[in-house]
Amino acid sequence: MDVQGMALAGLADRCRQETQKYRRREAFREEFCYEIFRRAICDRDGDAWSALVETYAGLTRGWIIRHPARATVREDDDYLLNGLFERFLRAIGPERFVQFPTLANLLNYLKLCAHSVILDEVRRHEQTPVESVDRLLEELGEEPGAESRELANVEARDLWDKINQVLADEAERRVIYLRLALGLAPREVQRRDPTRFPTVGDVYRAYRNALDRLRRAPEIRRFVE
Amino acid sequence: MSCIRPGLVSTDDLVAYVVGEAPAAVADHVRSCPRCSAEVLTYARADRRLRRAMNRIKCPSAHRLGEYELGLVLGDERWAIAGHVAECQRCTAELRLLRGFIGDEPAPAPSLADRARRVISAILMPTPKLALGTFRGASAGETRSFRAGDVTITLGPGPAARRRRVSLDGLVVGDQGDPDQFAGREARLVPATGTSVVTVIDDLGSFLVDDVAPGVYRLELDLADRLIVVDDVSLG
Repeated sequence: MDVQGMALAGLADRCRQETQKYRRREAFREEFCYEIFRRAICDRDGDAWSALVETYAGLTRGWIIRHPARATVREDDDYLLNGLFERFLRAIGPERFVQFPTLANLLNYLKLCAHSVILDEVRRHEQTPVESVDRLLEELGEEPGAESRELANVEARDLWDKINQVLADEAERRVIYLRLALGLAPREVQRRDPTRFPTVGDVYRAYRNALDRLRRAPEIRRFVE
Repeated sequence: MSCIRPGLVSTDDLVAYVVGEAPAAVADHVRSCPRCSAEVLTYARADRRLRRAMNRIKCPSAHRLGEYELGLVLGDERWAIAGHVAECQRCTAELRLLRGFIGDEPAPAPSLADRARRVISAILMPTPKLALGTFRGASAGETRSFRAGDVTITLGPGPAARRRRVSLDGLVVGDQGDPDQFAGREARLVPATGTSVVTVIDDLGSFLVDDVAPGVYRLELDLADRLIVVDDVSLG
Protein backbone atom coordinates (compact mmCIF):
# COMPACT_ATOMS: atom_id res chain seq x y z
CA MET A 1 0.00 0.00 0.00
CA ASP A 2 1.36 3.41 -1.00
CA VAL A 3 0.98 5.27 2.29
CA GLN A 4 2.78 8.33 0.93
CA GLY A 5 -0.09 8.81 -1.51
CA MET A 6 -2.84 8.47 1.11
CA ALA A 7 -4.88 11.43 2.33
CA LEU A 8 -4.13 12.45 5.89
CA ALA A 9 -7.66 11.69 7.15
CA GLY A 10 -7.43 8.11 5.92
CA LEU A 11 -3.97 7.70 7.35
CA ALA A 12 -5.10 9.05 10.72
CA ASP A 13 -8.03 6.61 10.81
CA ARG A 14 -5.84 3.63 10.06
CA CYS A 15 -3.21 4.87 12.50
CA ARG A 16 -5.78 5.08 15.31
CA GLN A 17 -7.01 1.56 14.58
CA GLU A 18 -3.50 0.16 14.52
CA THR A 19 -2.60 2.05 17.70
CA GLN A 20 -5.49 0.37 19.50
CA LYS A 21 -4.05 -2.98 18.43
CA TYR A 22 -0.61 -1.91 19.61
CA ARG A 23 -1.99 -0.98 23.01
CA ARG A 24 -3.76 -4.33 23.26
CA ARG A 25 -0.42 -5.94 22.32
CA GLU A 26 -1.93 -7.44 19.20
CA ALA A 27 -0.18 -7.67 15.85
CA PHE A 28 -0.39 -4.27 14.20
CA ARG A 29 0.74 -2.45 11.05
CA GLU A 30 2.95 0.49 11.68
CA GLU A 31 3.26 2.14 8.28
CA PHE A 32 0.22 4.44 8.69
CA CYS A 33 1.37 5.98 11.95
CA TYR A 34 4.96 6.07 10.76
CA GLU A 35 3.90 8.03 7.68
CA ILE A 36 2.14 10.61 9.88
CA PHE A 37 5.32 10.98 11.92
CA ARG A 38 7.31 11.34 8.69
CA ARG A 39 5.06 14.06 7.31
CA ALA A 40 4.99 15.93 10.61
CA ILE A 41 8.76 15.83 11.05
CA CYS A 42 10.31 15.67 7.59
CA ASP A 43 7.70 17.69 5.69
CA ARG A 44 6.92 19.99 8.64
CA ASP A 45 3.28 19.37 7.86
CA GLY A 46 1.18 21.12 10.53
CA ASP A 47 -1.94 19.04 9.87
CA ALA A 48 0.06 15.82 10.21
CA TRP A 49 1.47 17.15 13.46
CA SER A 50 -2.03 17.86 14.79
CA ALA A 51 -3.15 14.36 13.81
CA LEU A 52 -0.12 12.91 15.54
CA VAL A 53 -0.79 14.82 18.76
CA GLU A 54 -4.45 13.85 18.69
CA THR A 55 -3.66 10.19 18.08
CA TYR A 56 -1.09 9.92 20.84
CA ALA A 57 -2.55 12.33 23.43
CA GLY A 58 -4.16 9.51 25.40
CA LEU A 59 -1.13 7.25 25.31
CA THR A 60 1.29 10.01 26.31
CA ARG A 61 -1.00 11.31 29.07
CA GLY A 62 -0.97 7.81 30.52
CA TRP A 63 2.84 7.82 30.44
CA ILE A 64 2.91 11.16 32.27
CA ILE A 65 0.45 10.00 34.93
CA ARG A 66 2.22 6.69 35.52
CA HIS A 67 5.79 8.02 35.57
CA PRO A 68 7.43 7.00 38.88
CA ALA A 69 8.54 10.59 39.60
CA ARG A 70 5.19 12.20 38.66
CA ALA A 71 4.08 12.62 42.27
CA THR A 72 7.13 14.78 43.08
CA VAL A 73 6.35 17.30 40.32
CA ARG A 74 3.81 20.07 40.92
CA GLU A 75 3.10 21.06 37.32
CA ASP A 76 -0.21 19.84 35.88
CA ASP A 77 -0.55 17.09 33.29
CA ASP A 78 -1.39 19.45 30.40
CA TYR A 79 1.73 21.50 31.01
CA LEU A 80 3.89 18.37 30.97
CA LEU A 81 2.08 17.00 27.93
CA ASN A 82 2.69 20.19 25.97
CA GLY A 83 6.33 20.10 27.03
CA LEU A 84 6.62 16.51 25.87
CA PHE A 85 5.37 17.20 22.34
CA GLU A 86 7.34 20.43 22.02
CA ARG A 87 10.48 18.62 23.04
CA PHE A 88 9.85 15.78 20.64
CA LEU A 89 9.34 18.13 17.69
CA ARG A 90 12.39 20.22 18.59
CA ALA A 91 14.65 17.21 19.17
CA ILE A 92 13.86 15.23 16.01
CA GLY A 93 14.33 17.28 12.89
CA PRO A 94 14.29 15.93 9.34
CA GLU A 95 18.04 15.32 9.55
CA ARG A 96 17.65 12.96 12.52
CA PHE A 97 14.61 11.10 11.26
CA VAL A 98 16.79 8.35 9.73
CA GLN A 99 17.80 7.39 13.27
CA PHE A 100 14.24 6.19 13.82
CA PRO A 101 13.54 3.52 11.22
CA THR A 102 10.55 1.98 12.99
CA LEU A 103 7.44 3.20 14.79
CA ALA A 104 8.70 1.50 17.95
CA ASN A 105 11.83 3.68 17.81
CA LEU A 106 9.69 6.82 17.49
CA LEU A 107 7.37 5.83 20.33
CA ASN A 108 10.32 4.97 22.53
CA TYR A 109 11.68 8.43 21.87
CA LEU A 110 8.31 10.00 22.59
CA LYS A 111 8.36 8.11 25.87
CA LEU A 112 11.83 9.41 26.59
CA CYS A 113 10.45 12.94 26.11
CA ALA A 114 7.75 12.20 28.71
CA HIS A 115 10.48 11.05 31.10
CA SER A 116 12.86 13.95 30.50
CA VAL A 117 10.21 16.66 30.74
CA ILE A 118 9.30 15.32 34.20
CA LEU A 119 12.93 14.83 35.22
CA ASP A 120 13.73 18.43 34.27
CA GLU A 121 11.14 19.56 36.81
CA VAL A 122 12.51 17.12 39.38
CA ARG A 123 16.01 18.51 38.86
CA ARG A 124 14.77 22.10 38.98
CA HIS A 125 13.32 21.56 42.43
CA GLU A 126 16.05 19.24 43.63
CA GLN A 127 17.72 20.51 46.80
CA THR A 128 21.46 20.29 47.09
CA PRO A 129 22.06 18.05 50.10
CA VAL A 130 23.75 20.67 52.29
CA GLU A 131 21.55 20.25 55.38
CA SER A 132 24.42 19.35 57.71
CA VAL A 133 26.33 22.49 56.69
CA ASP A 134 23.12 24.52 57.03
CA ARG A 135 22.74 23.26 60.59
CA LEU A 136 26.36 24.05 61.32
CA LEU A 137 26.03 27.59 59.98
CA GLU A 138 22.89 28.07 62.04
CA GLU A 139 24.75 26.89 65.14
CA LEU A 140 27.40 29.46 64.36
CA GLY A 141 24.82 32.22 64.16
CA GLU A 142 24.23 32.54 60.40
CA GLU A 143 20.74 32.95 58.97
CA PRO A 144 19.83 29.70 57.19
CA GLY A 145 20.12 30.03 53.43
CA ALA A 146 20.28 33.83 53.62
CA GLU A 147 22.93 34.28 50.97
CA SER A 148 22.18 31.51 48.56
CA ARG A 149 21.05 32.31 45.06
CA GLU A 150 20.53 30.27 41.96
CA LEU A 151 22.95 30.66 39.10
CA ALA A 152 21.78 30.63 35.52
CA ASN A 153 23.15 27.71 33.54
CA VAL A 154 25.58 29.82 31.53
CA GLU A 155 26.75 31.65 34.64
CA ALA A 156 27.34 28.35 36.44
CA ARG A 157 29.37 26.94 33.55
CA ASP A 158 31.40 30.13 33.41
CA LEU A 159 32.10 29.85 37.13
CA TRP A 160 33.04 26.19 36.74
CA ASP A 161 35.59 27.10 34.06
CA LYS A 162 37.05 29.82 36.26
CA ILE A 163 37.30 27.45 39.22
CA ASN A 164 39.22 24.94 37.15
CA GLN A 165 41.60 27.60 35.90
CA VAL A 166 42.38 28.70 39.44
CA LEU A 167 43.00 25.25 40.94
CA ALA A 168 46.63 24.20 41.22
CA ASP A 169 46.69 20.53 40.27
CA GLU A 170 44.73 17.41 39.41
CA ALA A 171 44.19 16.48 43.08
CA GLU A 172 42.41 19.79 43.70
CA ARG A 173 40.39 19.50 40.49
CA ARG A 174 39.40 15.95 41.37
CA VAL A 175 38.26 16.74 44.90
CA ILE A 176 36.38 19.84 43.74
CA TYR A 177 34.62 17.84 41.02
CA LEU A 178 33.67 14.99 43.34
CA ARG A 179 32.61 17.28 46.19
CA LEU A 180 30.91 20.14 44.37
CA ALA A 181 29.56 18.58 41.18
CA LEU A 182 28.77 15.08 42.46
CA GLY A 183 28.11 16.05 46.09
CA LEU A 184 30.30 13.34 47.63
CA ALA A 185 31.53 13.40 51.23
CA PRO A 186 35.33 13.36 51.64
CA ARG A 187 35.31 9.77 52.92
CA GLU A 188 33.55 8.73 49.73
CA VAL A 189 36.02 10.78 47.67
CA GLN A 190 38.88 8.85 49.31
CA ARG A 191 37.14 5.54 48.68
CA ARG A 192 36.64 6.42 45.01
CA ASP A 193 40.21 7.55 44.41
CA PRO A 194 42.58 5.85 46.89
CA THR A 195 45.55 6.18 44.56
CA ARG A 196 45.37 9.96 44.53
CA PHE A 197 44.12 10.21 48.14
CA PRO A 198 45.65 7.41 50.26
CA THR A 199 43.94 8.76 53.41
CA VAL A 200 40.87 10.89 54.05
CA GLY A 201 43.27 13.46 55.50
CA ASP A 202 44.67 13.89 52.00
CA VAL A 203 41.16 14.72 50.81
CA TYR A 204 40.64 17.31 53.57
CA ARG A 205 44.01 18.88 52.70
CA ALA A 206 43.32 19.04 48.97
CA TYR A 207 39.82 20.43 49.58
CA ARG A 208 41.05 23.02 52.07
CA ASN A 209 43.83 24.12 49.68
CA ALA A 210 41.30 24.37 46.87
CA LEU A 211 38.84 26.43 48.95
CA ASP A 212 41.64 28.75 50.10
CA ARG A 213 42.70 29.23 46.50
CA LEU A 214 39.14 29.97 45.37
CA ARG A 215 38.64 32.45 48.22
CA ARG A 216 41.75 34.31 47.11
CA ALA A 217 40.76 34.46 43.43
CA PRO A 218 39.12 37.83 42.72
CA GLU A 219 36.81 36.45 40.02
CA ILE A 220 35.48 33.73 42.35
CA ARG A 221 35.58 35.38 45.75
CA ARG A 222 32.15 36.98 45.42
CA PHE A 223 30.58 33.53 45.09
CA VAL A 224 32.18 32.12 48.21
CA GLU A 225 32.16 34.99 50.71
CA MET B 1 42.18 36.85 67.74
CA SER B 2 44.09 33.60 68.05
CA CYS B 3 43.15 30.00 68.80
CA ILE B 4 42.59 29.33 72.51
CA ARG B 5 44.58 26.08 72.26
CA PRO B 6 47.07 26.47 69.42
CA GLY B 7 48.15 23.22 67.86
CA LEU B 8 45.20 21.20 69.11
CA VAL B 9 43.41 21.12 65.77
CA SER B 10 44.72 21.68 62.25
CA THR B 11 43.05 23.54 59.40
CA ASP B 12 42.34 20.14 57.84
CA ASP B 13 40.49 19.18 61.04
CA LEU B 14 38.34 22.26 60.61
CA VAL B 15 37.44 21.20 57.08
CA ALA B 16 36.61 17.73 58.45
CA TYR B 17 34.32 19.46 60.96
CA VAL B 18 32.59 21.45 58.21
CA VAL B 19 31.76 18.27 56.30
CA GLY B 20 30.60 16.49 59.46
CA GLU B 21 33.44 14.00 59.69
CA ALA B 22 35.52 15.41 62.57
CA PRO B 23 35.98 13.55 65.89
CA ALA B 24 34.19 14.85 68.97
CA ALA B 25 37.34 16.50 70.34
CA VAL B 26 37.54 18.78 67.30
CA ALA B 27 33.85 19.65 67.57
CA ASP B 28 34.24 20.50 71.27
CA HIS B 29 37.18 22.73 70.53
CA VAL B 30 35.47 24.58 67.67
CA ARG B 31 32.45 25.35 69.84
CA SER B 32 34.63 26.92 72.52
CA CYS B 33 37.20 28.70 70.32
CA PRO B 34 36.07 31.96 68.61
CA ARG B 35 39.01 31.90 66.23
CA CYS B 36 38.43 28.32 64.99
CA SER B 37 34.69 28.90 64.96
CA ALA B 38 35.21 31.87 62.63
CA GLU B 39 37.45 29.76 60.38
CA VAL B 40 34.83 27.03 60.24
CA LEU B 41 32.19 29.60 59.33
CA THR B 42 34.30 30.77 56.37
CA TYR B 43 34.87 27.25 55.04
CA ALA B 44 31.25 26.25 55.64
CA ARG B 45 29.95 29.25 53.67
CA ALA B 46 32.28 28.49 50.78
CA ASP B 47 31.37 24.80 50.82
CA ARG B 48 27.64 25.47 50.87
CA ARG B 49 27.63 28.22 48.25
CA LEU B 50 29.86 26.40 45.83
CA ARG B 51 27.98 23.13 46.20
CA ARG B 52 24.68 24.87 45.54
CA ALA B 53 26.09 26.68 42.52
CA MET B 54 27.98 23.73 41.05
CA ASN B 55 25.54 20.96 41.88
CA ARG B 56 25.38 18.54 38.91
CA ILE B 57 27.29 21.00 36.72
CA LYS B 58 28.84 18.13 34.73
CA CYS B 59 25.73 15.94 34.53
CA PRO B 60 24.24 15.55 31.06
CA SER B 61 20.65 16.77 30.82
CA ALA B 62 17.97 14.22 31.63
CA HIS B 63 17.06 14.15 27.95
CA ARG B 64 20.61 13.62 26.72
CA LEU B 65 21.08 10.90 29.32
CA GLY B 66 17.96 9.25 27.93
CA GLU B 67 19.27 9.54 24.36
CA TYR B 68 22.45 7.88 25.58
CA GLU B 69 20.38 5.04 27.03
CA LEU B 70 18.51 4.62 23.74
CA GLY B 71 21.82 4.37 21.86
CA LEU B 72 21.42 7.73 20.12
CA VAL B 73 24.65 9.24 21.46
CA LEU B 74 27.78 8.07 19.72
CA GLY B 75 31.52 8.62 19.63
CA ASP B 76 33.47 10.53 22.25
CA GLU B 77 30.34 11.95 23.86
CA ARG B 78 29.09 8.44 24.49
CA TRP B 79 32.33 7.59 26.25
CA ALA B 80 32.21 10.82 28.23
CA ILE B 81 28.68 10.09 29.44
CA ALA B 82 29.57 6.47 30.24
CA GLY B 83 32.52 7.67 32.31
CA HIS B 84 30.36 10.23 34.09
CA VAL B 85 27.57 7.79 34.85
CA ALA B 86 30.06 5.31 36.26
CA GLU B 87 30.88 7.95 38.93
CA CYS B 88 27.61 9.82 39.39
CA GLN B 89 25.07 8.20 41.69
CA ARG B 90 22.32 10.60 40.68
CA CYS B 91 22.67 9.99 36.95
CA THR B 92 22.83 6.25 37.68
CA ALA B 93 19.58 6.57 39.62
CA GLU B 94 17.97 8.52 36.77
CA LEU B 95 19.02 5.85 34.27
CA ARG B 96 17.53 3.19 36.51
CA LEU B 97 14.32 5.18 36.68
CA LEU B 98 14.22 5.53 32.90
CA ARG B 99 14.79 1.81 32.39
CA GLY B 100 11.93 1.03 34.73
CA PHE B 101 9.73 3.54 32.93
CA ILE B 102 10.47 2.09 29.51
CA GLY B 103 10.19 -1.35 31.10
CA ASP B 104 7.22 -2.45 29.04
CA GLU B 105 9.38 -2.06 25.94
CA PRO B 106 11.93 -4.78 25.06
CA ALA B 107 14.67 -4.89 27.67
CA PRO B 108 17.59 -2.67 26.65
CA ALA B 109 21.00 -4.20 26.21
CA PRO B 110 23.54 -3.46 28.94
CA SER B 111 24.75 0.07 28.34
CA LEU B 112 28.33 1.24 28.24
CA ALA B 113 27.89 2.66 31.73
CA ASP B 114 27.18 -0.81 33.06
CA ARG B 115 30.33 -2.13 31.49
CA ALA B 116 32.79 0.72 31.75
CA ARG B 117 35.16 0.71 34.66
CA ARG B 118 37.44 3.56 33.76
CA VAL B 119 40.99 3.50 35.03
CA ILE B 120 42.02 7.11 35.08
CA SER B 121 45.55 7.72 36.28
CA ALA B 122 45.16 4.76 38.59
CA ILE B 123 48.84 4.03 38.43
CA LEU B 124 49.88 1.64 41.17
CA MET B 125 53.65 1.84 40.84
CA PRO B 126 56.51 1.22 38.47
CA THR B 127 56.87 -2.55 38.34
CA PRO B 128 60.46 -3.71 38.67
CA LYS B 129 59.62 -7.37 38.21
CA LEU B 130 56.37 -9.08 37.40
CA ALA B 131 55.02 -11.92 39.46
CA LEU B 132 54.28 -13.98 36.38
CA GLY B 133 57.05 -14.70 33.94
CA THR B 134 54.95 -14.11 30.86
CA PHE B 135 55.66 -10.49 30.14
CA ARG B 136 57.44 -9.96 26.91
CA GLY B 137 60.32 -7.77 27.74
CA ALA B 138 60.10 -4.29 29.22
CA SER B 139 63.00 -3.51 31.46
CA ALA B 140 62.72 -2.48 35.10
CA GLY B 141 61.38 1.00 35.67
CA GLU B 142 59.77 1.24 32.24
CA THR B 143 56.52 -0.51 33.09
CA ARG B 144 53.42 0.87 34.74
CA SER B 145 50.71 -1.01 36.58
CA PHE B 146 47.06 0.01 36.66
CA ARG B 147 44.23 -1.31 38.71
CA ALA B 148 40.57 -1.73 37.73
CA GLY B 149 38.52 -3.57 40.33
CA ASP B 150 40.07 -7.01 40.71
CA VAL B 151 42.23 -6.71 37.60
CA THR B 152 45.81 -5.47 37.35
CA ILE B 153 47.07 -4.26 34.00
CA THR B 154 50.78 -3.85 33.43
CA LEU B 155 52.03 -1.96 30.41
CA GLY B 156 55.51 -1.51 29.04
CA PRO B 157 57.41 -1.06 25.82
CA GLY B 158 57.37 -4.04 23.51
CA PRO B 159 60.16 -5.39 21.30
CA ALA B 160 62.19 -2.94 19.25
CA ALA B 161 60.13 -1.61 16.37
CA ARG B 162 60.97 0.00 13.04
CA ARG B 163 62.38 3.50 13.07
CA ARG B 164 59.81 6.07 14.24
CA ARG B 165 57.46 3.25 15.28
CA VAL B 166 56.81 1.83 18.73
CA SER B 167 55.14 -1.16 20.31
CA LEU B 168 53.27 -1.80 23.55
CA ASP B 169 53.43 -4.93 25.63
CA GLY B 170 50.68 -5.66 28.15
CA LEU B 171 49.77 -8.18 30.80
CA VAL B 172 46.30 -8.57 32.32
CA VAL B 173 46.07 -10.46 35.60
CA GLY B 174 42.95 -11.10 37.65
CA ASP B 175 43.07 -11.49 41.42
CA GLN B 176 41.78 -15.03 41.00
CA GLY B 177 45.08 -15.83 39.34
CA ASP B 178 43.57 -17.84 36.50
CA PRO B 179 45.97 -16.97 33.65
CA ASP B 180 43.64 -17.82 30.76
CA GLN B 181 40.47 -16.11 32.05
CA PHE B 182 41.00 -13.28 29.56
CA ALA B 183 42.21 -15.42 26.66
CA GLY B 184 40.73 -14.37 23.33
CA ARG B 185 39.41 -11.04 24.57
CA GLU B 186 40.25 -7.92 22.56
CA ALA B 187 42.72 -5.20 23.51
CA ARG B 188 42.34 -2.00 21.48
CA LEU B 189 44.73 0.90 21.25
CA VAL B 190 42.65 3.94 20.29
CA PRO B 191 44.40 7.07 18.95
CA ALA B 192 42.97 10.58 19.33
CA THR B 193 42.26 10.48 15.61
CA GLY B 194 42.50 7.68 13.11
CA THR B 195 42.02 3.97 13.29
CA SER B 196 42.29 1.79 16.38
CA VAL B 197 44.75 -1.07 16.49
CA VAL B 198 43.21 -4.30 17.75
CA THR B 199 44.96 -7.32 19.20
CA VAL B 200 43.94 -10.35 21.23
CA ILE B 201 44.91 -11.31 24.76
CA ASP B 202 46.62 -14.70 24.79
CA ASP B 203 46.10 -17.60 27.19
CA LEU B 204 48.75 -16.23 29.55
CA GLY B 205 47.06 -12.82 29.80
CA SER B 206 49.61 -11.10 27.55
CA PHE B 207 49.03 -8.93 24.53
CA LEU B 208 51.25 -7.04 22.11
CA VAL B 209 50.36 -4.03 20.01
CA ASP B 210 53.10 -3.80 17.46
CA ASP B 211 54.34 -1.19 15.03
CA VAL B 212 52.30 1.90 15.88
CA ALA B 213 53.14 5.59 15.64
CA PRO B 214 54.36 7.37 18.78
CA GLY B 215 51.60 9.34 20.53
CA VAL B 216 49.01 9.32 23.27
CA TYR B 217 46.41 6.57 23.11
CA ARG B 218 43.48 5.16 25.04
CA LEU B 219 43.75 1.46 25.80
CA GLU B 220 40.51 -0.52 25.96
CA LEU B 221 40.36 -4.07 27.26
CA ASP B 222 37.08 -5.68 26.22
CA LEU B 223 36.66 -8.31 28.94
CA ALA B 224 33.63 -10.56 29.23
CA ASP B 225 31.87 -8.59 31.98
CA ARG B 226 33.29 -5.12 31.58
CA LEU B 227 35.24 -2.77 29.41
CA ILE B 228 38.37 -1.49 31.10
CA VAL B 229 39.73 1.79 29.83
CA VAL B 230 43.20 3.17 30.50
CA ASP B 231 43.43 6.77 29.38
CA ASP B 232 46.53 8.67 28.30
CA VAL B 233 48.85 5.81 27.43
CA SER B 234 51.87 7.63 26.09
CA LEU B 235 54.03 5.73 23.62
CA GLY B 236 57.39 6.81 22.31
